[in-house]
Amino acid sequence: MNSRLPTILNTTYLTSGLSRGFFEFVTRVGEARSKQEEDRYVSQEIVSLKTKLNHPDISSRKIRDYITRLIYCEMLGYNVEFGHIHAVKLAQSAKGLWDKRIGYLACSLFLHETHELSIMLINTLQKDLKSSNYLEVCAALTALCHLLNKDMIPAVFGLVEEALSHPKDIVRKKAVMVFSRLFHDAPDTMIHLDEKFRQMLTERDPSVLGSILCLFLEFIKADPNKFKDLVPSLISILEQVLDRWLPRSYDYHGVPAPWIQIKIIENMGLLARDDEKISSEVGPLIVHTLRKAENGVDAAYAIIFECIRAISRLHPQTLSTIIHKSPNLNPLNVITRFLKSNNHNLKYLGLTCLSEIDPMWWIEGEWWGEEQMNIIVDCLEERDDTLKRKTLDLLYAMVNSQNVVVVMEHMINALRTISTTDEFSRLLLVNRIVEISGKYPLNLQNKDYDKAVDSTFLIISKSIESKEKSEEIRQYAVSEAIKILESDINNTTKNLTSWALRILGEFVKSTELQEKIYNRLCDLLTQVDYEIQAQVITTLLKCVSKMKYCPDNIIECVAKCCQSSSGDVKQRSREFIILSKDFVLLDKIIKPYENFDDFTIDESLSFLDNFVENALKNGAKPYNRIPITREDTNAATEIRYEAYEKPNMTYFPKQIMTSLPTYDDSRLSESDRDVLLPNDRSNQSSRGVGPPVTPGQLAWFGVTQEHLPPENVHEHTSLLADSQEPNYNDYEEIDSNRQSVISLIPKMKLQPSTQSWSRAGYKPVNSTESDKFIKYNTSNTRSSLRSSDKVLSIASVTSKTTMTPEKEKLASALFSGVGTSDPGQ
Amino acid sequence: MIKSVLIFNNHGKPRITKFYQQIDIGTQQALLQEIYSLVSKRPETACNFLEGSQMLGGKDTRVIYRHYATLYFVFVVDESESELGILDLIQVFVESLDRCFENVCELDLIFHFDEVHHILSEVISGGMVLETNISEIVSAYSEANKLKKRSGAIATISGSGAGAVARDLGANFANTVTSTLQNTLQTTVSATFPTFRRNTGFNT
Repeated sequence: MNSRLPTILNTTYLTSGLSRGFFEFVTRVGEARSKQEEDRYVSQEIVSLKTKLNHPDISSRKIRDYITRLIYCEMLGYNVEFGHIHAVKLAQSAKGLWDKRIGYLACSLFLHETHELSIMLINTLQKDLKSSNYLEVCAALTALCHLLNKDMIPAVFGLVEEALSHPKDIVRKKAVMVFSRLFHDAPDTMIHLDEKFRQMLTERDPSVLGSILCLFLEFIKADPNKFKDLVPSLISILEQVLDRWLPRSYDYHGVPAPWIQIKIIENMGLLARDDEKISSEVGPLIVHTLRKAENGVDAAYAIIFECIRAISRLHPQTLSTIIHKSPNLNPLNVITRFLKSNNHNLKYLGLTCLSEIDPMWWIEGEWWGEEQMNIIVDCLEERDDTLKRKTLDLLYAMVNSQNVVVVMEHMINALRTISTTDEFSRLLLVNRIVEISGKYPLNLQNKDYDKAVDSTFLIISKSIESKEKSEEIRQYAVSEAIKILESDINNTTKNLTSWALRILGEFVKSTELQEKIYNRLCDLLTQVDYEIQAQVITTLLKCVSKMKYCPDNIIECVAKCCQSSSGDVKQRSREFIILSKDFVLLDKIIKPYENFDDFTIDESLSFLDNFVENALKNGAKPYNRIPITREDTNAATEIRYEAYEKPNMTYFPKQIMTSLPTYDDSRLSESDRDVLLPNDRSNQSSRGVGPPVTPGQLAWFGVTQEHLPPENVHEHTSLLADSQEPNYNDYEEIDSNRQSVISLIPKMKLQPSTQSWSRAGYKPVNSTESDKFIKYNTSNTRSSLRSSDKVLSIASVTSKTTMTPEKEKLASALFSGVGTSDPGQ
Repeated sequence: MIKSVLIFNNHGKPRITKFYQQIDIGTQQALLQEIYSLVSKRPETACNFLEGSQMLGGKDTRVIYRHYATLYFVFVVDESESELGILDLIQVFVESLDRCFENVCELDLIFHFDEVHHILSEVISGGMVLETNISEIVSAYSEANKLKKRSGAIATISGSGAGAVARDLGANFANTVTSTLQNTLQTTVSATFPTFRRNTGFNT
C-alpha cells in the first residue's frame, strides 16, 4: 500500500481526471520491456474490459473509462471490435458532455462511413444538432465530418443547413466543413445553397471565412467556370488581409493570417488558369502578396510558394508581362534565394517552385543563370534523398533532345544507387527512362545514348521483382527489340543489336514468334560480323527451344555458318544443328530463365576435389604452386649513397631533338607505359612518321632524364632510338590530362621528398652493358612509378580545383536547350 | 487533403493516430511502422518532407514531419496541400497543445490522448484545415473543458491554477518520499520540448 502512494498522487494522474485503472494500465504498457510483455498486458486488459462492459448496469462514467482504454488499445493496433457497439451506446446514452464527446470520439475512431453501426447514430446526431448547447452541436458536427454517409444525408441535411446560420461562429465553421465533406459524396444535394455560400464570403469572422474558402476551393477545382465572378470579392478579401484588417491573433509569426492568404491565392490561381482577363486582374495582386511575404519573417515561405504556384498558372500573356522585368523586379528571382539557402527545407521549396514552372519561363526575364544551374547539379549529389528525388523529377521535366544524354546518365546512375527496397521509386525511374528513350530515338548513333539503353535493358531484366509489372516491361522490351532488329542493321550500333538479340532470346514468348522474326534473324546472319553472328545463332537456338519446332530454312542458313572462319561461329552453328534435332537435350541445356540471381563462382574449384583425391591415391604428384618471385626485389633495397653527377645536358638537349625516343619501347613494361602515357595507349599500334614532338612531351622526357645517371641516359636514348622507328603519330593528340601532369613536374622537383626517392632506387653501375640496361630499366620503372604517384596526388589536388569548370560544363549540358521549342518531340 | 495525423515517439510507439480515410487496422500499423522507419533515419538537417513510397499511396502522397524532443509529429497529405503550409500547421498544433497543457510533454499526450484528439479536431476536420488561430483553438478547448469538469470528474482538481499547484505538490512529494518509484516512463519521457517556441524549422 505504501508503495502505491506516490503513484496515486502522481501529478499526471491527479490532473487527468481518469480512473486509477486507466492510469495503471497505461503506465504498465508504457513500461513494458518487450513487445511480448506489452501483448500480454493489452490482451489481459481487453479480456477484462470485455467482461466489464457486458455487465448489465454500469454507470456511464465507468463506461467512459472503459471506452477510453479501448481507444488506447486500438491505437496500439489491437482488435477491439467487440467494443464498437459499446462506443455507439455511450454516444447514445451519454448524460454529460464529456461522456458524449468520448462517445463520439470513439465512434469516429472505430467506425467508418460504411460501417453498419454508424446508422445507429442517426437519432443521436439529430438530437444533438437540435440541442441548445452549442458544444453538443459542435460535437455532433465533428463526428458527422467523419461518419457522414449516403443514408444519413436526408436525416441531417436540414439541421446542418440551419447550423450555417448559427449565432456561434465555431458552429458555422464546422457546418461548412460538413458541407465540404458532403460535396465529395453528393455534390448535387447542395446546389440550392450556392447563394448562401457566396453570402458567407462576406462573413466577418475570419475562421469561418477560412473554412468557406476551403469549400470554394473544392467547388472551383470541380468547375472553375461557374465561379469566375468571385474574383473581385477574393481580391478585396486579400487586400484586407494584407492591410491587416484581421485581428492580430490570426497573425502567425508576424504574418497576417497566412492560411487565409494561401487559400485565396490558390483559388485565384485556379480561376485564372487559361483566362487572360482574370489573369491580368489577379496577377499584380499576387506579385504584391509575394513581395509582402518576401519582406516578412521566415514564416511566410508557404505564401511565397503558393504565389509562385499561382503565377505559374496565369495566362501566358500576363505571365510574360510579370516576368519580363529586371532581375530584382522579377518575382521568380525569389527562387534563387531559396536554392542558395543552406536550409534543406528552403532548398526543397526552391526545387519545388522550379518544378511548378514550365522550363520555358526559366530562361525568360534575366533571372536564370549559371548560378542556379550549378546549384541544381549540386543537389544531385545531396545526401538528402528527398532533395535528390526532387532534382530527378526536375531533370525529367526539362529533358529535351539536346540534353537527353546527360539526363539519361543521371537517371541511370540514380537507378543504380537507389536502395533495392524502394520498389516504387525504382519503377517510376524505369518508366521514365523507357519513356525518354522512346521519345528521343534520334540520338541512336550516339555512343553515350547506346550505353544508356544498354544499362536500361540490363536493369529492366534485373530490377523489377513483382511478377505482373515485370511481365509488362518485358513485353515492351521485346517489341522494342524486334523494332531495332527490323530497322536497317547498318544504322544500329553493335551494342544495341546484341542487346536486342539477347532480350529477344530471353523474353520472347512462343506465341509471338513468327516467321518474320525468324527470317529477319536469318538475314542478319549474312550481314553481320562474327560476334553478332554467334549471338544470332544462340538467339535462334533459344527461340527454337521455345517453339519446339525448327523450320528447315533456318537449319540451312545456320549450316552455311559451319564453314565460317571464326571458331566460335563454327562451334555454335554445329551445336545448333545437333540440338535442333533433339529437343529433349535442348530443353535440358536451355531452361527457361527463371531467376535472375547472380550465380557465384566457385573459385577454389572444389567440385574437382574428388578428382584430385583419386589422382593422388593413384600415385600422382601433389600440385606444387610455382613460387612467383620478383627478380628486382633486392634492387630496391640497395641504396646508392654517393651523390649523382650533375647531368651534363641542357634541359632540351639537341641530340634528343634529332633522334627522338619513343615511349613505345617494347622493353618498357605495360604498366610503365601506362604511367608514361596516361590515356594514350593508341601509340602501341600506330607506326609512321608524323610531326615533331611537342614541347610538353619533351619537357616530360627531359625531366625524367634529369633523374638518371648521365651515362645511362645516353645509352637509353640511343638504344631507344636504334631499336625502333620513332613514333610521332599521336603527338597531335596530347590530351589535357597529360599536359597537366607535365606542367606539374617543376613543382614536384621542388619538394624534398621527391629528391629522396630519386636518390634511392638505383643500383650502382657495376655490371655488364646489357645487364646494366635492364637494371636501369627496372629501376627507372620504379622511379617513374613513384613519380607518377606523386604526380597523381598533385594532379588530384588540382583536379579538385578544376571541379568547378567541370561542374559548369555538366550544368550547361543539362540545361542546353531548356525552354526552347524542342525538335525532338 | 490531409490523409492522416500520426504522433509517435523516438522508439516508434504510437501516441496519437488519426486517419481521415478508411483504412483497416492492420494497414494502419504497417503504415505507422513504415513512416517511423523512414523518418527516424533522417538526420536533423535533412528537409522535413518525404515523398510517398508504394505503401503510402504513391506519387501524390507526401509526408511532412517535425521532430520535437521525444516525439515525431507526422502529417500525411495528398498533393493538393502545400508542404510548407502543413509544416507551419504542425507548429500551430504543437503550440496549441503547449498552451492547453502548459509546457506539454509526452506524458500529457499519453494520459490525455482523448483531449489531444479534441484539440486535433479543432485544427483539422474531415481532412481539411479548419482553424489555424491558436487562441481560437485554445479557447474552444477550454470552453469544453470547463463543462467536462462540471459534468463530474471525481478525482479532478479543477481549475488550471490548482492543477499546476497539484503538479508541483506531486512532484515534490515524489521527490521527498521515494525516488525508486519515479518510474522509468516518467524519467525518460517527461522532458518537455526544449526547442519549442519560435522553432519554425527555418533557422539556418
